[in-house]
Amino acid sequence: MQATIKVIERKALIRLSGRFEFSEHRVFKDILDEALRNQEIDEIVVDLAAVEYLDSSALGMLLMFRDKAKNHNRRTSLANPSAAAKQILDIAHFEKIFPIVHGAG
Amino acid sequence: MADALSDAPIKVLVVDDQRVNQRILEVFLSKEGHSVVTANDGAEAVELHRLEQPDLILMDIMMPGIDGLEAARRIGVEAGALRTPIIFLSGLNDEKTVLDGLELGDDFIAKPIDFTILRAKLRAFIRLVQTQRMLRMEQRRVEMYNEAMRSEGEVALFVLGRVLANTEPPDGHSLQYKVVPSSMFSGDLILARRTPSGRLHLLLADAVGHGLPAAINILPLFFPFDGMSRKGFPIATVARELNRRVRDLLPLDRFVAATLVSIDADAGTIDVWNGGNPPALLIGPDGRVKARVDSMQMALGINDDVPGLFEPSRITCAAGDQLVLFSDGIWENPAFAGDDTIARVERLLTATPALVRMDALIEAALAAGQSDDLSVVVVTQPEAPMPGAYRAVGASQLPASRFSVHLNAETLRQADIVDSIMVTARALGFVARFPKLPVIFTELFVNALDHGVLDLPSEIKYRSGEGYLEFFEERQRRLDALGDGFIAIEMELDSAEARPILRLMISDSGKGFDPHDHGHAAAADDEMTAGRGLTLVRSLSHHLSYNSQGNEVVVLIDT
Repeated sequence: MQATIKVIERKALIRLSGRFEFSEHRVFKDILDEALRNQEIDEIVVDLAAVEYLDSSALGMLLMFRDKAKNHNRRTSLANPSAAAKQILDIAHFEKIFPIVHGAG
Repeated sequence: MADALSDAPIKVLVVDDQRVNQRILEVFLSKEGHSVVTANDGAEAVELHRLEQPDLILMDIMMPGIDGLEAARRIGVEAGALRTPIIFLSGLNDEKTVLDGLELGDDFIAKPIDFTILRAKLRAFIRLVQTQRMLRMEQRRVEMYNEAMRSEGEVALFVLGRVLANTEPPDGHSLQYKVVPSSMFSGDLILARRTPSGRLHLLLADAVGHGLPAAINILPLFFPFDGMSRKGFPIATVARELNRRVRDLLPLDRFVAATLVSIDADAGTIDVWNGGNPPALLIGPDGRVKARVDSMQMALGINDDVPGLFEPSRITCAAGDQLVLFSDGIWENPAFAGDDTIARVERLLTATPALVRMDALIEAALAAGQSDDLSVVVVTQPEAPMPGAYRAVGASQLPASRFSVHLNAETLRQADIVDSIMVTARALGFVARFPKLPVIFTELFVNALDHGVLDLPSEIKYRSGEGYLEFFEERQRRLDALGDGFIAIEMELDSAEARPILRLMISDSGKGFDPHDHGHAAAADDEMTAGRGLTLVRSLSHHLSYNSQGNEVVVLIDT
């Protein structure tokens, strides 16, 4: 999995691409920590447009992401889930805990 | 290049048939700070290599008996991949000797020995030796770690096996199930239990990830599901308790997707709560998907402990219908993966005869290369009512017109006892003819249990704040401690009248109350606060009267 980060206005946009699964947890944690260290942002958006696959461990990492961001007073959202990611997010009902936005960034 | 690594002392095996050559090397190496072992020929070299485990070998080639090249070959065979480095020493300097030496050993130095060159080469080899030492230590650590893992794994497997040994489903339903773990441990769990009233409870759970951590995460579900199902708790209560356990016990990023099912074959209803699993499918005898229950909530352990999140969906089923549950292991399976995974699964199930649906799904997954745990449950609704006391009588004919039962303390503790009685009433055709019976019965039964047998003052309920909760906690405490209370129930059909009437009598072991005393009765009567009560029952029934002691009520119910 590839992860990139971009700051636009006061938003950190994390773009993930490839397979988002347990073996990638270091990649995700590192980029998340980088976003959290940035004092200039109020919100962290995780863009899932290029995610080919997402497993239950990834859902666990997203829960961790939400919790950490909350502790840092950052808002969180997910953006543009790919069809494969959407399928999993729908079943997991993550729309109940994350705003899921389309077309942003 | 001198550094800490290349200056470290090592143990060198010197092999030469000439004593004087041995001696020269020994003196040189000792001065450099290394320890030395000497061998006089190839055979001795092989032997000492085994006994002394030197870090480096300096080996003459031309020796009587086993020569240096042959000794190197034998040492190589014995030592395998991490062979001690060998530097050959030889007066022969032709190309073939050099090449042979480099093939069986690691370097070549011509005799007479130039000690400046030997010193330089030693440094390089010491670095190699140190690296090898570290590798060997690392290898040993990995071996020990693996060994520890293996024995810990065996203990875990034993414990999990003992706990889960009792997953065998009860008889009665045609139930097929299979868990295909991706490793020694399964993060998927299937449980089936029969409730006291004959409902079938099913759980298909799938913990995050797979292997041992997932198997451990699944464990907290076993005992509550088992115990609460045996006591007959409704599926919403079980789901809420499981959610609480997972939430309390597992780390934040660990949760368990679960489908809980309660099948009432007599009533033809299936209650399904699906949190984070693929849909539950109900397939008719013609192979068509009649109903599907999609994930309705987040998986167990994510939601807060809030009531209302765990209410199941109810679907109706008929004889021959098949309920199919499966875990999300199919998601990344190449046979089903894509944007329309469920549609693909549905197509396969529809095209497969009912008897082999489970096997077909698993075979397709395995053939395509399954990498996650996968589990499948298939329950077929029985064609005919099951044998058993409650089920012997069909609703159409009415051979029995009277039914009575005496419930002791142990029976009263069953959470679904009201359901059980209603199953009987339904089987006798009473419910079909007197649709108001379930509501009236439930109200009066709860009254008899709470205020009669358990002698709970209803005032607690009306206190502000936690009153209601307090009431239920107190109720549970008294129920658990109940020794010899009882409730007797009688239902009798009187069809002699022009319009048939059902007479319902409920008496309890409580001390009763004065039905004319407005304290007690008024409280039970207060619909605004209690939401249920005698007012409701009075309005529904043809006639209602309490005995003078207040522990026996008779109601006449019309159609």
